[in-house]
Amino acid sequence: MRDMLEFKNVTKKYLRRAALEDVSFALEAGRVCLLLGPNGSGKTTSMKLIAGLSRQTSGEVLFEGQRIGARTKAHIAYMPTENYFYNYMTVRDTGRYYADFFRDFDPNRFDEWLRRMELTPEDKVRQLSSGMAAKLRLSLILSRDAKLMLFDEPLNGVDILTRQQVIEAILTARDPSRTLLISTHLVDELEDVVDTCVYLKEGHLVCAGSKAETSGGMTLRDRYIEIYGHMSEEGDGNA
Amino acid sequence: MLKLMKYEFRKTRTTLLIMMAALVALEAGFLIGDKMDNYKVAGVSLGLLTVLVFAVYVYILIAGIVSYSRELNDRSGYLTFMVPVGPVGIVASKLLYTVLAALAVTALFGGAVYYDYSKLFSRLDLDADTLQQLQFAFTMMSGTMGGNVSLTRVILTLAFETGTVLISIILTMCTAYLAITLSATLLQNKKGFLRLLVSFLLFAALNYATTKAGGLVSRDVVPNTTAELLSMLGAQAAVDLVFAVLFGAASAWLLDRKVSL
Repeated sequence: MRDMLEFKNVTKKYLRRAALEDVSFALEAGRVCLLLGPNGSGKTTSMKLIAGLSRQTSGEVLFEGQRIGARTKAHIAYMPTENYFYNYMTVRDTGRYYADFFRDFDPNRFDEWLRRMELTPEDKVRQLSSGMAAKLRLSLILSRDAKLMLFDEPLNGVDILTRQQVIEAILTARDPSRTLLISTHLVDELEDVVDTCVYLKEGHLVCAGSKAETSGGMTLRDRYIEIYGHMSEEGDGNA
Repeated sequence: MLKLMKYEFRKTRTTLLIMMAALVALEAGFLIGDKMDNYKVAGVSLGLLTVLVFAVYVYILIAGIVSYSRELNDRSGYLTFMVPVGPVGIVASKLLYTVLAALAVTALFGGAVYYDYSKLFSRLDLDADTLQQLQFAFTMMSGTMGGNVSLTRVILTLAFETGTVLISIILTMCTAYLAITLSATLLQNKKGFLRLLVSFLLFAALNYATTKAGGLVSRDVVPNTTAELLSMLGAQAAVDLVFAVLFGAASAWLLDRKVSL
């Protein structure tokens, strides 16, 4: 079966700085995949490459064998970490925008998510708190039937109670024909649901594969500490 | 593409409405002044209206360029670049909206200005000298059209000149888009004054290049006939059109292959 997403020797440089260096991995359809790494490891860069908001310096990013472009964007849903709406928009307007451009967007499902997330359609998006804004971004992506859903740090800026709500919401999107790619530091909450892990470190791939292959029998948390833990030790040593 | 144009309009709707309200108010000022034979009010309103129509036209064009630049620098650009529309559609939607909006407002209120001036002149008691000067100006114009003024030639020349002006506007927009896109490509994730400066320098350089290229086809003679005039304008317009298409296509290619938000 062809992989849904492939990174083939992808390098992304911003002027002289390499955000990603020769990264290769593949994801199958129907998987819940964690993209792991500390700040600056290349997670958001990877997501933007997949979403078509950025271009790699070299290598290929393929979705179902196709180069990322207008056609693939119809099947990929991306939830960025930041707010990205026009200032004039209300919560309702963001749904209308998505309905205009994405055929797989369901307005009724969006209304339902707004109710569940306790968002008011008439509220201006610029006046939402960071937690409410994150819930809005989540509602938009979950109202689509995209084949690939990208959640970039979905738990950032949300309180503990909301965090659980967000995770449960993301997991409602699980489907054999859909791949969920989630970048997060908070690995504990997703320990039981993840199938695949991709570990990035300073723009390089550490390892990628099933949870069993990449964790070496450890929990995600312990494996995370094993791979990245010495980075904070080195930082303390230099301070 | 049409949907993107719709959202371009939505973004600028409030500002456009305010500007239109000001234009309507000045037109109303003229009509009221004219009705009450208060030529001071009518004249001031008409004068301000004339200036404001030009200012609104320039503002819309500049705002269109600034909007494009903002989308390559701002997170709101995600909304445009996440949707399943190709880079040609993205560039074309912004270009078309800006040009159409500028032309629509200018045509509407420019037409009102023309009508107002006609009304004003017809009610003014022009003396013999002024009439003679107007006739002389018209004779000069007719001289450039082979001394044989016909309605067809006037319409043809006006339409041709309107077309060349339109192409020139499109070329300016496409040059600005290419300068901004090149700047975003070269400076990657650097933002702020440096990117603005590089955009401006690139715009100036591209403008210089197109002007030089246009100079290769223009002739340093005053056209004596309509055919000569149209030929000269046509050659310039053709060069402008070629560059406009090239610059627009180059911007789209860079957006597709090189630019990162």
